[in-house]
Amino acid sequence: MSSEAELVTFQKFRVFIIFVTSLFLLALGLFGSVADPLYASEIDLFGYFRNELTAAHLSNDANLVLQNKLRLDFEWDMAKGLFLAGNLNLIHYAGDTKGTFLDNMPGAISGIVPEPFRSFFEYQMDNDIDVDNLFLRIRMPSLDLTVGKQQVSFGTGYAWNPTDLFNRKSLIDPTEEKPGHEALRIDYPLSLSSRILVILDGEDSLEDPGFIVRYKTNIGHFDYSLSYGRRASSKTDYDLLEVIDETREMTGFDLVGELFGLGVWFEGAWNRMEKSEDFGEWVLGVDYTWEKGFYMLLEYFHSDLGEVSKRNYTLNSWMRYLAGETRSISKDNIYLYGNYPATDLLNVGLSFLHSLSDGSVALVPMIEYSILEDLDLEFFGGINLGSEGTVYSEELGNGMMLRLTWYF
Amino acid sequence: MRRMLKIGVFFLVLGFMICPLWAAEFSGEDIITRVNDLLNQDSAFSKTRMTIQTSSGQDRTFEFLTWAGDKGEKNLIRYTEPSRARDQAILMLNNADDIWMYFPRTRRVRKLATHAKKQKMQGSDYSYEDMGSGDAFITDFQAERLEDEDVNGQPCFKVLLERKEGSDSSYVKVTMLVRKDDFFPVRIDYYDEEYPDTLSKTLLLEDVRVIQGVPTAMRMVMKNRLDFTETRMELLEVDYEVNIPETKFTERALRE
Repeated sequence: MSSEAELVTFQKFRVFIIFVTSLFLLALGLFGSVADPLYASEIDLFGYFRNELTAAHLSNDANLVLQNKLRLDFEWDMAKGLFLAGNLNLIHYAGDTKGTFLDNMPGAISGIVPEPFRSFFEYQMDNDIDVDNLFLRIRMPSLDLTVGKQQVSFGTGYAWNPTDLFNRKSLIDPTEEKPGHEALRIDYPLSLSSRILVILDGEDSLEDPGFIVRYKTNIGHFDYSLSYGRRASSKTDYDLLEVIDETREMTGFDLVGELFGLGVWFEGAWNRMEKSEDFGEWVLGVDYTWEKGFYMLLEYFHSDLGEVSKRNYTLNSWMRYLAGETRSISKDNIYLYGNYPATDLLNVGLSFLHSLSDGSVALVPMIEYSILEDLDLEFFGGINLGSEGTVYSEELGNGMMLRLTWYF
Repeated sequence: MRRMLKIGVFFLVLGFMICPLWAAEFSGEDIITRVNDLLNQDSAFSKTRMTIQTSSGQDRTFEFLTWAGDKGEKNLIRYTEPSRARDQAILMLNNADDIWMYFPRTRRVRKLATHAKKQKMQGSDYSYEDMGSGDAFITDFQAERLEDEDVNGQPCFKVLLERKEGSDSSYVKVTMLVRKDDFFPVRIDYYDEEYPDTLSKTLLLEDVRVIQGVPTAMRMVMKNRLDFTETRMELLEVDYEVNIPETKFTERALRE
């Protein structure tokens, strides 16, 4: 590790220690005031160790990255109504940890970047110690208050969530855990089936913090949610290499339920932007489980930020997607996923990713095998079948990921 | 004293004479209603160990807590073991017509459609439909009494349940053997939609003990007749006198 990287790691660790100590003292203070002496509290320690091998084949060049990740979780029911939890991630990389985003886009686009600026698009995977989550939850009869670094995600979509201002999902594994965010969360139940959720974003400026208010209710066999939020947003102009900071104001609606025996959901959001153009995004999904457990899911995603054809793709559209600033490069997208429990220990699945805007297709086969009680092996493939210049172009190569996880 | 004994013997003989007549009067619907009342108590809490004997001969063991309310109409199941399934929870309301699942990995709750009931519970031979469908034996099936049979020397009613039109149950028919003395089912045979004439699964309810006045099978074995696997459930704790608040069956409780 370089001395600069060591300094960053040390600083992160120092922040972690200060944060843990503060939260611990706060929790102890609250514990002293509300603790029931008869309440038996215990700390649960658990987590997983994951060894992940990612291989990519890019234009006659093979790229291998090995990631070792130890996730250490703790949960402490300190007293009745008081809960402290968190996790620490220790991540170690080996192999080809340096790369450039330019290798992940069509040559016709990456080729326009002048040589002096190409280093701007490089990335490096550094070893990391990260306090991923650390929060205190206070459960009162009328509401739950959660303060600290916590996962914040919502919406009914499976592969895309237009109402989620905090995260963007991976199409390889949309169920992957999301990073924690500094936030204050208030869950206020209005009745047995409806509630209001308020999230104050601790990562925005303190003078003007971001927030989300979400009202959720259940009518018939459907859950409905209305969301309104505002959060700082960054957009990079990769041609001029400058960052545009602005405020994003989102109004969203989602529902999930059942129609004619099929699971159905919708999630849509309209975003008013302070400086750039306003845009809308929405997802429509349907799923079904057949006898013997064969499961299929189909989702359609539309984004006004996407392009209608491969001719419109630019360096900006590619880089904003790869950097997580947008959810898709093309305007209209399909995600089709099937899963079948082949045996009691083996699950096989296949995702079909399709850009309706440029006609390209990618396949993501998956295999999940339970080797031992708490030891899982997963395989994900990535096969691009699209024509040159498309989102899932063959020229982008193919890849695979092998993941061994031991839960403890 | 001798007179008392004579009276006692008289009533005992009378009881034996009347019992077959009394039993003969029960229709399939009557029997299944009694079974339903027995299986779905007002409220119940249990801790269960589920062991899956896989096709490869390996065992997979899970432990979970279950809270049931409103005579089985509401169910909340939370896994405690093993580590990879820890804290996963499922809430089933309205006899599993409304299902929500909590994923601790993402700390997210997702509503599932009723077809999710067909999914295997952690890869076991039980589906979620087997676990939380409340009074489905009454609402989804038409009962017909068949010829009585003995199971391990115990006289039993045999009832055929045929799926009603419009029902979304995965099973096209079910046969049930029910003990005559306490209406407790000891064997349930399931026939699924794909092979309606082939026995798909058999549930054996064993080690029946009376707990807080309720006959309870401490061990249940689901045998998959098509995949040749079996899943054993053992009750580690059970409480029928527990007071479960309505708020236990909400999304808030699911995220606890």
